[in-house]
Amino acid sequence: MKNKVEELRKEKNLSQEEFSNYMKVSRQTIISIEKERYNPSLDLAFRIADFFQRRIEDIFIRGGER
Amino acid sequence: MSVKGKKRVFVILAIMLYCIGLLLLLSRQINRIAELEISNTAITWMGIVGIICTLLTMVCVIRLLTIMVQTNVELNISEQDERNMMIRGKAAEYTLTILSILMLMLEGVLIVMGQSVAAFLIAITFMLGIIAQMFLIRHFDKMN
Repeated sequence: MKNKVEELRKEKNLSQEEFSNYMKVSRQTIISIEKERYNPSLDLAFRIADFFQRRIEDIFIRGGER
Repeated sequence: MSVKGKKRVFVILAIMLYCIGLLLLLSRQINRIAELEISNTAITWMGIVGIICTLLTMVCVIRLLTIMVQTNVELNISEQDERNMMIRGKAAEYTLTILSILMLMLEGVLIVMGQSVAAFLIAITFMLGIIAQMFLIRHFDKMN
C-alpha cells in the first residue's frame, strides 16, 4: 500500500523521531510505513490521518499509483 | 517505596534466590565431593526447594523488567509498538517450530542412549506445550 506519510511529515518539518513520539510508536515503525514495507493497523492509520487532518484515503493509497 | 528502591529490591532478591537455588540444586554433587553424608530424602527436598527458588528468581526478573518497561517511556513505546508486537509474534511462531524439532531430536538421542525416563518426561512436556498452545489459540480466537 502506497502512502504520503513522509511527504506530509516533511511539510510539517517533523523528524521521524518526533513524529513517532506523537504517534506513540517506535521510530522503526514510522520508517517502515514511509518505506511502504509495513501497513499500519486501522487504529494507527486513523491517528495518522487525524494528526495530518486529512482523510485516510488521502494518505494511504491502496495498490496502484499515487 | 520509590521506583529505584523497588528495582534494587528485586535485583538483590533475584541474585539471592538464584544463588540459593543453584546451591540447593547442586546439593547432590556437593554432598558427594565434600562427603557430607546428607540423606537422599534431604537432598530431594533441597532439590525441590532449589527449583522453587529458581522459579521465584524468574518471577523477580519478570517483575523487574515490568517495572523497567513501565517507567521508561521509550521502552514502554517499544513494548506496545504494533510492528514490534507483530515481529515478536512471528519470531515466537518460528521459535516454537524450531524448539519442537530440537526436542524431538533430543528425545531420539535419549531413547537411543537408553534414557527412557528422561525421554518420557520430554514427551510429556512436549504434549503439555501443545495442549497449552491449543488452549491459547481457542482463548484468543474467542477474545477476537
